Amino acid sequence: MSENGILFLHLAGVLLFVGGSVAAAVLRRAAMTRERPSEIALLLRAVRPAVPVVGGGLVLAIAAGFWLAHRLGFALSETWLSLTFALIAWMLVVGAVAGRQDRHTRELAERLAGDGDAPDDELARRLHDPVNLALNASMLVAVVATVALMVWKPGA
Amino acid sequence: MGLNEWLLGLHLLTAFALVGAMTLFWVAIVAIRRTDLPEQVASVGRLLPVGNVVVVVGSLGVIVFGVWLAIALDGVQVWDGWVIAAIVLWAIASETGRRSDPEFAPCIERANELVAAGQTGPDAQLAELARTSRGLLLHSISTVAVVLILVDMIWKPGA
Repeated sequence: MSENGILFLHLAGVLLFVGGSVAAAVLRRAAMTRERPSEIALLLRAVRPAVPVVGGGLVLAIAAGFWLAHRLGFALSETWLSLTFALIAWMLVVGAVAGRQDRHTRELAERLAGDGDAPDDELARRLHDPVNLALNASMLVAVVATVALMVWKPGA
Repeated sequence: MGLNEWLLGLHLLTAFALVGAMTLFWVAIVAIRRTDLPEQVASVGRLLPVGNVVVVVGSLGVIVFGVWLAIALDGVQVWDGWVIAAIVLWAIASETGRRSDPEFAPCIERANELVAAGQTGPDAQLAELARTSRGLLLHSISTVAVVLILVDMIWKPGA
C-alpha cells in the first residue's frame, strides 16, 4: 500500500476515534442535566453505538500509525512518538475505567427506570462523580496533546 | 512553533469537532429511528442544539484555517485543483448537513407537543416523522462529502 493509503487509514482511524469520543462526551454531559432515570438511561444507552467506533478508530489509528512510522523511517524511540504512546496508553486505561463506571451508572438508571422512574440521589452522585469527570476531561486533554505532538513533533 | 504549525493544529482540531458533531448526529438519528416514545425522542432532540453549535464551529474552523494554511504554505495555492475540490466538497457537506436539520424538526416538535400534552405512549405519526428518508439521505451525503475531503487532502489530485 502507498504511504498516502496508510496515512488515509491513520487519519480515518483518528477521526473515528475522536468523533466517537466527542459524541460519547456530549451524550454523557447531557445525561448529567437530566433527573429522570429513563431519560438518563436513554442517553447513556445511546453511547453504546459510539463505543465500537471509538475502539475501532483507535486500533486503526495505532496500527496504521506504526505502519506509517516504519515506512517513513521514524524511530519508535523518538521523543514525540514515545510521548504519543504514553498518551495513548493513558487514554486506553482511563477509557476502560471511566467506561466501566459509566456502564454501571447506565445499569442503575435502567433499573430505576423500570422501578418507578423517580429521581435518585445515588444516580445523581454517580453522574456527577468528580473522579469520573476528571478522568473524562483528562482524555480530552490527551487528544489535544496528541494532535500537538503529531503536528510539532518535538525532538524530531 | 511557526504559524503554519498552529494553523495545521487548529485545522485538525476543528476537523475533529466537525466529525464529532456529525457522529453525534448519526447517534441521534439512530436513537430517534429506534423509538416511537415521545419522551425519548424529545430527550434526544435536546442534544441537537449542542451538535449544531459544534458543527458550526467545526465547519467554519476547517474552512478558515484550511484556506489560511493554503495561502501561508509555499507550493500550495488556493486555486489549485485539489484545494478548489476540497472547498466545493466542504460547501456540499455544509449545505446538505444544514438542510438535513429541518427534516428532523417536525419529529422533535411533535414529540415536544405530545410530552407537553402528557401523552407518553407510542405515537404512529411520531414514528413516521422520525423515519424521514430525506433527512437520512442528506446527512449521508454530508458524511460522504467529508470522507471525500479527507481523500482529497491526502492524495491531492493534480498537485
